[in-house]
Amino acid sequence: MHFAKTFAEILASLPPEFAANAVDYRQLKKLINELVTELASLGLGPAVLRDLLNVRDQDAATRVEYQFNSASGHIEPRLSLWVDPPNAPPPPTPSKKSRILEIQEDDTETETSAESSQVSLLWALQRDVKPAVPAAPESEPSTVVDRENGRKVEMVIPLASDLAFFELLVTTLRGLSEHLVAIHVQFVETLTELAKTVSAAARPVSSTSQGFKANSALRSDTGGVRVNALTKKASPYLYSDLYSWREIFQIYVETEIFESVNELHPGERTIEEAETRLKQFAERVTARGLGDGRQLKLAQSRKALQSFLELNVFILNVKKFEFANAEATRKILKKHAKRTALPLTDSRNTTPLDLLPTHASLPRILVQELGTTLLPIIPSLEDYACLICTSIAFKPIRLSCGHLFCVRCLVKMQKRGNDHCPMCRAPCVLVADRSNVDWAMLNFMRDWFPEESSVKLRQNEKEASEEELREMGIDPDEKCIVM
Amino acid sequence: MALPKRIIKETERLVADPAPGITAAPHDDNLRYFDVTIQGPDGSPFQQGIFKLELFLPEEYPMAPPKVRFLTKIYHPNIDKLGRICLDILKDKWSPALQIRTVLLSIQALLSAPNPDDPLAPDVAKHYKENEKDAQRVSPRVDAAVRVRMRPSGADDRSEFSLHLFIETRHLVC
Repeated sequence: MHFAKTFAEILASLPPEFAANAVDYRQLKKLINELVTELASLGLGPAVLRDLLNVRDQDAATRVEYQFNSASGHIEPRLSLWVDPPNAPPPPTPSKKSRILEIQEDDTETETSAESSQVSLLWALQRDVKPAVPAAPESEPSTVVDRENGRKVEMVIPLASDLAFFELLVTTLRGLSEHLVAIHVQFVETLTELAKTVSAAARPVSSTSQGFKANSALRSDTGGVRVNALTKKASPYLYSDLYSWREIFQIYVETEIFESVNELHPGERTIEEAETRLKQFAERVTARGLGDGRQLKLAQSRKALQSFLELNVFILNVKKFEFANAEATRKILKKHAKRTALPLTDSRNTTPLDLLPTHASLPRILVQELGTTLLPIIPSLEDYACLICTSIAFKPIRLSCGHLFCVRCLVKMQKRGNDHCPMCRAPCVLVADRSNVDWAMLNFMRDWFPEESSVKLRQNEKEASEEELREMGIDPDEKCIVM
Repeated sequence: MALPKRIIKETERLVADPAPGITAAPHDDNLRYFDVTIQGPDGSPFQQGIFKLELFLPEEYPMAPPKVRFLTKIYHPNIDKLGRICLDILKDKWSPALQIRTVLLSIQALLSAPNPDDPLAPDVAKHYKENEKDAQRVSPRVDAAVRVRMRPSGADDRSEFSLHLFIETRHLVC
């Protein structure tokens, strides 16, 4: 009952360009009211209509069929009335049900009926000087189809308001999907722009050095690891927001704002849930100091973060808008069925919704686009982690089967005499040696994960020396060793 | 010795995003020791059952496989009376790329697909081979009876005992 109000409230909360393209719920409701009046004037109140529609028997004296035609690309509702002519086809007064029943009862009067449908139509028109409803011009001459071969006479009852109802609904929904397409294009443009800004703001510091190639092609000095660059303890991250952006994106992915990847409850989130989570994301980012100059050193980064948040709010708005419209469409069609007793699914089992252009959920597409365009700009540590120790696979060793692990874990495997690749069980671990170092990957990691790779390198060295001591029978954890 | 990063990560994910039908929680005093429950998979003879297991990560993990044992008795050709499990990935087919999660999923799958050709409980395996239908019919009954019996006993002394058992049975291969 109060959906109209709720709907208006939702639309009011969205930017005005949304409301302009929304389903006109009130107008549609008005048209339903008109339709009800129209049907009533034909003597087809909901109760009568329901009874007639329920007649499934082809041979019944009188039955009614409600169909949707979509041949012309428009939805044309059609109410056909079938009456049993006594001998010859009756000259029905098309738009008056009461009249039809009269005719049926009064056999003698119909004897004079014409031979062909043509004549009967003319006759009908002559008789029916005053149509019961002041209908639209095209529907005014109620079509009477006389099937000479059958025993029944079909009459099509014009439903001007119903036609207007579906016309309005379909036009709105068409306009709506066009609007959504436009939104999509606009979104992609903003996103591409943002992606450019972020990649500029978060490029690796090493990109300023001469050796940098965007995708870390093989370097000439493949023989040596650039240890000197690693150990240098200057503040090398001054001119890039790489780490801040990585953290922002990580928090974003973890918050799972629009879609859950949880194994127990995967799938799209509700609007309320998404809204809460978006807020959480903003709070976490602010709490980490990523929202201002503390962590985001570049002005363009701060602007880009703003734009990133706006894009997400936008997706949320689209989600709200789409949901509200779907709900309005569903409700108005339900109301239509309830008030008029005209069923939503017609005798051929098509519903008007089937005839509408369908499109995939736009917010989902937008979220996906964000995930494929923006997030991969910054390589995520997870994608470069060793599957065995789960920290960065540094130094990276590419086994002959193609799988990549960190050198430390493979050394451990070799010491245990384990020859099988952990991923594919190919016997290639024991033969791996220096030539298996993936230099391109190593350089890539040094560019994009400078902190992680240097930490891992130090850790590896520490672990290796401890292991060596242990192999010599010395416990490295002992405080004092007397040789 | 500090807990390796990998174990911390695995534990976090097991608790935050558990696999359907599986729970695993580490002990407060020993983060390498987990209390596990596995729901009998739908469509298997163990459908209604919830099975308790213990899982221990040895020092060498992930180079060496975790040690897993059923605490709830179960009528299954590859699981013996002591709850030891005959599963290749827990023995020679272990790979350091496997995780607690994947191991538990494999055990859950083993409940759906018993392998009487490689038995650990020969009597059950024989029963399965001779008359699979009847063996499956027996499974839930035996399990249900055992579950009721096991419930009241305290959990703590049992885990103590089983830790011993782990050490003792380490080199036993089915």
